[in-house]
Amino acid sequence: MPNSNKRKLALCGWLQEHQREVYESSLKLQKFLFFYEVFSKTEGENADFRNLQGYERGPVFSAVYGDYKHEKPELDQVSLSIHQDGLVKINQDRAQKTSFMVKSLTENELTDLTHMFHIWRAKEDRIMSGERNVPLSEKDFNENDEELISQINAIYTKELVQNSIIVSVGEKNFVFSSDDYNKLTEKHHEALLGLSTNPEINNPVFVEIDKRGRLIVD
Amino acid sequence: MIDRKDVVTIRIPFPNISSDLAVRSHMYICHHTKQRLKKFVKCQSLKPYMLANKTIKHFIDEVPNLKRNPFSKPTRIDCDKEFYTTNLRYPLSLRTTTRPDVCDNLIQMVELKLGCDGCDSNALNEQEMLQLNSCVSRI
Repeated sequence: MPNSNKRKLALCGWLQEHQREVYESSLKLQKFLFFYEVFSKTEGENADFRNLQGYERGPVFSAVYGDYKHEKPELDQVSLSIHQDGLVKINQDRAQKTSFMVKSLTENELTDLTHMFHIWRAKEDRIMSGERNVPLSEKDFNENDEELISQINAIYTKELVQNSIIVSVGEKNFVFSSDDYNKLTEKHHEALLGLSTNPEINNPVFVEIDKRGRLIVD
Repeated sequence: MIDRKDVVTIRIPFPNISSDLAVRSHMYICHHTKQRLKKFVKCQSLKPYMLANKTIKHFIDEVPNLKRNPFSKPTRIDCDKEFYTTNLRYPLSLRTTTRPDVCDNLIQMVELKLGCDGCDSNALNEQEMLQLNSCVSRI
């Protein structure tokens, strides 16, 4: 049996069902779990920071990390089953927002973002000196972290998350409205390929299609 | 002709990609105008990398608010640098549509931030501006 608790298993199952490609990256799964719990906390609901440790690439729920690394087929199966049982309640809007945000950024960008949080930075010296299994404490989640979450919430609005589709090309994640997504042609996809190596545009790359059919890149 | 406080949307070409297929779109706030000289500050949609990257020292973050600004997304106004043109005419039709300008309080905040430590002044590429923004013309 996996060592992860039921809440984390249910979240793993939810992510498998709704954003499989995010789930297939161990780092992105950890970021999904971290931000889901942080959003829960800042929205005044119960959050679960048990077994949260500081790794070089950010906060990690160690039990899930171990299950994912050593027992992935069992984790896949059990977590999906627990999610589908529906006994552990998952806030759908929050899970959608979190998975959308994680999908819209690269692993390195997510790492840089979680390094901004005091809950990780409070132990940064120990973590970066090579110490292993450094526990992170919910008490270190401070006003700076609340402000970061407030800014992230302002970027990833419910309207954006519910009405947008992400097209990932290389290291770039292009965000289209559902309407514009349906207008994409082969030529647009070729243009996105060209844009995907442009260092001057940053994720998430918001794109609209104008009346002449041109991609208007923010 | 546009005036101080007005916000314009400018199209910029990508290198190596036909501008019939894809162009960049930037919003600029005009913060100073004197005869032919127009000075702008650049507005960018707020993105997570900006929260982790402290390269912009002086900035203002604005959320969409039609009482203050025409932005449809949370926006960072970069006050470390200004951009200028000296020979271009900008018609009113180039202004943003939901609201054509920013409010007095916001333009004052921009000017205050620009004056903090001085700012870099960069010429906008007038040829590029003329290429994609058909209503912009030479004076």
